[in-house]
Amino acid sequence: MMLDDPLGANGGGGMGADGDDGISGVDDRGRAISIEEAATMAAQKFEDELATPWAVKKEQVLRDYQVTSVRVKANFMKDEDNREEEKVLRVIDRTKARLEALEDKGSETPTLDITQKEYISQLTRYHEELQRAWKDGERVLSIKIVIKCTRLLADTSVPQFYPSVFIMVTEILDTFGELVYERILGKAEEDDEGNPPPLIKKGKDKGKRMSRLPPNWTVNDVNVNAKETCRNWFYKISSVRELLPRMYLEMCLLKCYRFLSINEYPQVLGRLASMSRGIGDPLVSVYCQCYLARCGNFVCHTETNYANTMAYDYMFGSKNYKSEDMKERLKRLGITLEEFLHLQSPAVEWIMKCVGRKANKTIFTTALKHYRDYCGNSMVLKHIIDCFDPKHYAPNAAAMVSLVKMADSSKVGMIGVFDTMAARFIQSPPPEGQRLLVLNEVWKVVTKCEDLKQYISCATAWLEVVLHHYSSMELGVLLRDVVKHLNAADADEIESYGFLEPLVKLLVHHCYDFNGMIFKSGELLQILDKFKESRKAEHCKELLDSFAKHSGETDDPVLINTLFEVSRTLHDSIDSLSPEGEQRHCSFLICGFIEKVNYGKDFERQLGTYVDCRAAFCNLDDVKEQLVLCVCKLAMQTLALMRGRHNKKTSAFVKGCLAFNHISIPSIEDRMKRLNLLVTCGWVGLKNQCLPQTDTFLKQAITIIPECQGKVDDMVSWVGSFCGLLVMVPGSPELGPFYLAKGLQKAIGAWSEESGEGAASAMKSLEKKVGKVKCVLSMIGVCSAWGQEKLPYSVYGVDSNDTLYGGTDAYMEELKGIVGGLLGEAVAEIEGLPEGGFKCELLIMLSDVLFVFFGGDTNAKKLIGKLVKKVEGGDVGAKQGKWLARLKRAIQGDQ
Amino acid sequence: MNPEHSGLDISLSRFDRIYHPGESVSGVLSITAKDGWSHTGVKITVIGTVTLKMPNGNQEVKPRRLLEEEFMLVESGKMDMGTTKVPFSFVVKGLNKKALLETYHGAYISVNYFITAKVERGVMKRGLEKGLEFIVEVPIRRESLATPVEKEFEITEKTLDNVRSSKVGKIPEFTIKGKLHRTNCLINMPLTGEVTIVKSANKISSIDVQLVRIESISSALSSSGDLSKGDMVKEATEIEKLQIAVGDVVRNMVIPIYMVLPRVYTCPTLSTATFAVGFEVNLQVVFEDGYMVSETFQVGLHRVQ
Repeated sequence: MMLDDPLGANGGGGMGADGDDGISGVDDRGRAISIEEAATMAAQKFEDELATPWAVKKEQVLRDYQVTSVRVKANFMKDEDNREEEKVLRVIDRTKARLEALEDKGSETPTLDITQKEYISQLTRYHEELQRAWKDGERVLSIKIVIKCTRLLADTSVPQFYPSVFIMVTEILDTFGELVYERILGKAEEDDEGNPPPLIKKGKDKGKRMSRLPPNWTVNDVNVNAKETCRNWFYKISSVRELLPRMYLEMCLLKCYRFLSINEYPQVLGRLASMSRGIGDPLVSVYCQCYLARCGNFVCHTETNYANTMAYDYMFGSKNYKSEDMKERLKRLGITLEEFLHLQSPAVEWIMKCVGRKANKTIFTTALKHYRDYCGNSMVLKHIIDCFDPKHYAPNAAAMVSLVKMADSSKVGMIGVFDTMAARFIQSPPPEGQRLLVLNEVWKVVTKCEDLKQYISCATAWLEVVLHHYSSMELGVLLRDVVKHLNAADADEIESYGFLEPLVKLLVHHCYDFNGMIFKSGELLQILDKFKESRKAEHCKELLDSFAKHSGETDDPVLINTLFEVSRTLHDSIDSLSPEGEQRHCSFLICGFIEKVNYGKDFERQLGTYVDCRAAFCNLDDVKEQLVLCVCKLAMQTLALMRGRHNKKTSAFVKGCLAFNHISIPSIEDRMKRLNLLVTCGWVGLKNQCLPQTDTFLKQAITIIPECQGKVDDMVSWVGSFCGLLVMVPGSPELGPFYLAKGLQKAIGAWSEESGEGAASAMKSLEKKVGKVKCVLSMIGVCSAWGQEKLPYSVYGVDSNDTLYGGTDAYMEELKGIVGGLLGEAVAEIEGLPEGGFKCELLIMLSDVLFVFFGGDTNAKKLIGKLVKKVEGGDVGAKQGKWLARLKRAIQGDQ
Repeated sequence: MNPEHSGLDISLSRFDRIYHPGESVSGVLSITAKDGWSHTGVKITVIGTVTLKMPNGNQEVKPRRLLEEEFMLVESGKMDMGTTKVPFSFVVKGLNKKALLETYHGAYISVNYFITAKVERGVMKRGLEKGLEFIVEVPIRRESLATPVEKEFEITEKTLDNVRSSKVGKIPEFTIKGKLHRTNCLINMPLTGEVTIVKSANKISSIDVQLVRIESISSALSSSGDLSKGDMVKEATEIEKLQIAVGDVVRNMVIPIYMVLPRVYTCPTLSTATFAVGFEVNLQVVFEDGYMVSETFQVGLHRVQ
């Protein structure tokens, strides 16, 4: 089977994942792309369409052209499986057959009706039979089967089914062509003695034969034997009497000419193209040409002259479609001319694609002249517009529009043609002077379209043209017209089809063009309202995503308000049952919006927006977290603006900010998140000299520690940062300098006790104990800092413990007591641990901490010595060994 | 190794076994000997003959020799067990310096060239024999072929000649134009031309191109004598018929005539005193009502160097 797609051979890249990217018209740099880029992308899209593999086209045709029953000659269904029997019976049959033939003379061949399914399975049987016959070496039988199949293509008694029959039969032909080609290739690979090349012994091609022919082999590399065999095949098929089988056979063997000549293709294709003129039936003829275009493009994609000829011939031939003969014929077949044209459409499309791909202006002009002089129906015009380079006709866009208006009707209505035209104008727009005229002329027709689906499809295409090549004024007019049509339509009708999707996608992708004109105009939201809740939410996501990518910070109240509404819709689509990923995604998008709201120095307004957001997005933790952080930032900006010294007004504003956070944080579900935010707020409070607020945040944090269920490591690192902040936080006049530290110690104790239940809890409990020791070590660090005369760092305008208590004896005593308590707690906790890596590690850490903070103290040294011994006595791993060695070195160096 | 059977086999150096007069045919005779045997010599005979058969009777006309050559390839002696390969060669040339004719297999006339290898193995053993046909082509010089000219034609209802008088004037009108690109055709090139249905009141059903071969044999060779001396007995055979159009084709569209000349049934046009082979092309246009018009063209087939 010819699996390679013919047009893909040169179309560059197939239908990849970026298949529908062309429509977006936006790039990553966050702005709508320029016209040139749009044109290139549209061109690329066109190329991609050209590359639509035949396989895809095939499926489409089989889907589109179906019938319930097919009238066939009675012998069609006769099973040919019993060849052996036939041979025996032949002698007797001969007389019988002769008699039958005599009787039949004059009367019609008997026919019967079979279902489409039966027809298809019969063809599948032929296909299998062909492969079997070939395998058995019965070449003549193979040809006979193929000829029998091609004869089916001469029968147009059920025209509605013809395109599908064509597809199925050509599949058999493709197989046959491939078989013959492979056979001759096999011969060409043989050496002088007739031996095939050796087998490949390893690698991914193991089991295949090596190739003796060079990769780009030509006739000069082919041996006499293969050439002779190939020539014999062509002699054989050239003597087939009937035209259609003879042509189809040669077409499916085109690939084999490579064994005989370097490039005879232009000539051969040209001959076959003109031979197709001998086919009187227009349907049979155009499909035969289509197959030639397909095979020809596969073997020699640089050649298009033959395809031009076929296109001209086809159009020349279609002048007869209005004749009385034709009317009578169609009446007999029971179809209308429109239906008849529709049947030809896939074939015409393929031929035009082959022609249009490389056509220059002259060929286009000739083709258009043939269209005007002989053809004139909209089906053909649509394919011409679709397949030729628009730069050939865009300069005369207005004339093209009137050509469309004058075209004879087919199943492709005027709207359909305009739809196609728009898709091409994106790439090459009409000249400036004609643009308005063209749009006006087209829209006069389009706006009257009563089929909503068609209307929307066409409107979408033109909207894209307008977006790229027209001004905001035309855009507004078009958008209003679209909304008018939608409002007039039945809501159910809109919902039941997906045809609005491309329109919305387009608008969403471009909604920030022209300064966000689409977005702000309100039409988009009206269109979105036509969707069901879930779809609407999806579009809202896209809108926000697009905004995040393509727009910078904004203070445009209309834009912000619209985005706010969109975000609210999205937020409201989420409920407690929504999957976590979904919630996270929505949060991410809404956060993206919030981040871009920037009223500059109007801080009050900024805070106001945050307040609104908190009210609107109260179900999303991530959004609330974002809001708290934004408000923190706002407070810090205020401080920066005041150069570190608040006045009364700003101080009050900052307090307002902190109050906002104070209220917001507890509503966040995740306690770990809360803890982190509280520390951040603590910092902000301290920086802004709001000591009571800082105190409140930190107290709040301490109170929720015991209930925190998060990861132990998170807690350890959080305590680290909390301790870092704690260094600067002044003690309470009433509760003493260390009340927060004491509170923290207690809370951590309580937290480490809390280990839940069940089997996992034992593990968790051990982990928490280790965590607790680490936390305690952090706290020893703070205490040691407090023990110094001057704290290592402080905040401007805030008196820390060093200033407040200045190393008084009472202060130092209390501090020593706390440190002693902490140390005792740490040692006790470590002792309680089972022997092993953890214990060892913690002992070393403890020794380390002691050495760093209390290195000069004799008692501490003693304790360190003890600890080190303990470690050495135990089982020391490689990593711990290294630490230990380093520690010992340090101690010795100090002494 | 002892082979299972004794036998002879001839293979020629050229894959297609085609040779021109004056060329040397070289080949190898493989002699397969079981157990080994003595012989009286391996002889090669090359014979070219024209065989004629009178169409009107069963009588055979004595074949005429065109080429005759005989030589001893291996002198008498003993053939060893196994396969012995003996090369041989001879030149293709006419008997008594007469011109050679092309290989041709017709219905009544045939021209064959055979190589036969023969070995006698004494009285006790059966002799061995093997024959192989080779093909002789006799190309003429390109210059000796007349410049090809187009043969144009136009057929209308008025140009028909074998119409019953009662029907004259009642035939629906039609005009068919066309041409053959050349009538002195090259045998290895397709026969080409074109035909256009300019107008036709009746619908067209099909257009066919028929290649007919005409073999003529001089009646002088016939012994029955019921024909006067000098007359030629002609026999026509359809050797190829191709449909070039099917259905009611579009008017004024040039339809190509294209026929690859079949290899086996054709030969260059040939004419001798006693027999001749010639060709005709018939263009047949069949109308939907069953009527048919036909135009005949004499064509010559030639092989050039």
